[in-house]
Amino acid sequence: MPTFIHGKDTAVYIDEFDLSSYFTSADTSINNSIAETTAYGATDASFIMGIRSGTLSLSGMWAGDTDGSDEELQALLGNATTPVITVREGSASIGSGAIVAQANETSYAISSPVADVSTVTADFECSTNNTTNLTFALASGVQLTAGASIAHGSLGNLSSVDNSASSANGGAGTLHVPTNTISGGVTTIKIQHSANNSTWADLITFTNVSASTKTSEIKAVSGTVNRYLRATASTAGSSGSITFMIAFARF
Amino acid sequence: MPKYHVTGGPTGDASIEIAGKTYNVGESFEAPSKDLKWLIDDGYIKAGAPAKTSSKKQPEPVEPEAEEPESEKDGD
Repeated sequence: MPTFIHGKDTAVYIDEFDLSSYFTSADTSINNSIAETTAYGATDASFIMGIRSGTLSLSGMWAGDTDGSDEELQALLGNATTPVITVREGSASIGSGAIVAQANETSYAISSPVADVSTVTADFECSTNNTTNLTFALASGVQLTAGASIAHGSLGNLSSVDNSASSANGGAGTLHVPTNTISGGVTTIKIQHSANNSTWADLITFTNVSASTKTSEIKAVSGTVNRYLRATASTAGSSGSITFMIAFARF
Repeated sequence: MPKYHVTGGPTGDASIEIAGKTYNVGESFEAPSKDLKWLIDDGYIKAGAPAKTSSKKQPEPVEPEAEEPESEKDGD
């Protein structure tokens, strides 16, 4: 029996912002271009595989809030730094699906119909630029956190995710920190992997998150990613809490 | 128990965790070999103590002994 999920539980993280409450639709697409190699005399068309590309299209409601849909989507257009995007597929649950992406915003549109709510639409083109080992800039992965707030004294190892087997082609992890009130020290957030769910090694160590700082980052690795993955966090801070979303996609 | 030291894996800076304890690059630890094989295979740890850096001292210059003047041999 297939396990279906409802679109209402989708969440969208762009850089250090959780913009889920503004969006009503998130569409992702991976495309492979092909080049035709059909020659004279052939009765059937033939093609060779070309280049893979990915796009995201987000739409929802316009809001002029601080850190809201309009402010952030305006700011991303033409931004020199390519945004980090995670689209959570379904409910917030460790092991459930997520799409990780690094993508430039290519268009932003506002619609204000006379008889309806004002809406926004933004399109993104994925790009691997400036990220070491990022083979693909749009890939399906898993959530390694439930995106919930964790108090400074409760940080540690989160539940592991079993991929049933290791993989050999690396992968990419995204981190979004939309709220952070931890004070008194930095917070270290990592993705670890394991072959046996018992002993662990760091796979990705994100840049230390400064006290009371919202941030985001994408990091990619090459080579072996072992069967089990988990997120882990520790802090030198002495008070407050942090909300962070981590997803990882194997290539 | 066998001794291991942490080498950092592919990135050279990866820590490891064994039985709830974290070991950073350069640290050594003793643990049962169970569950550690993959960490060795993936280059995160090495068995044995870390290789010691060369501590050979430069040989101190030996001052040549002052030659004693050969005593003249008496002839016949």
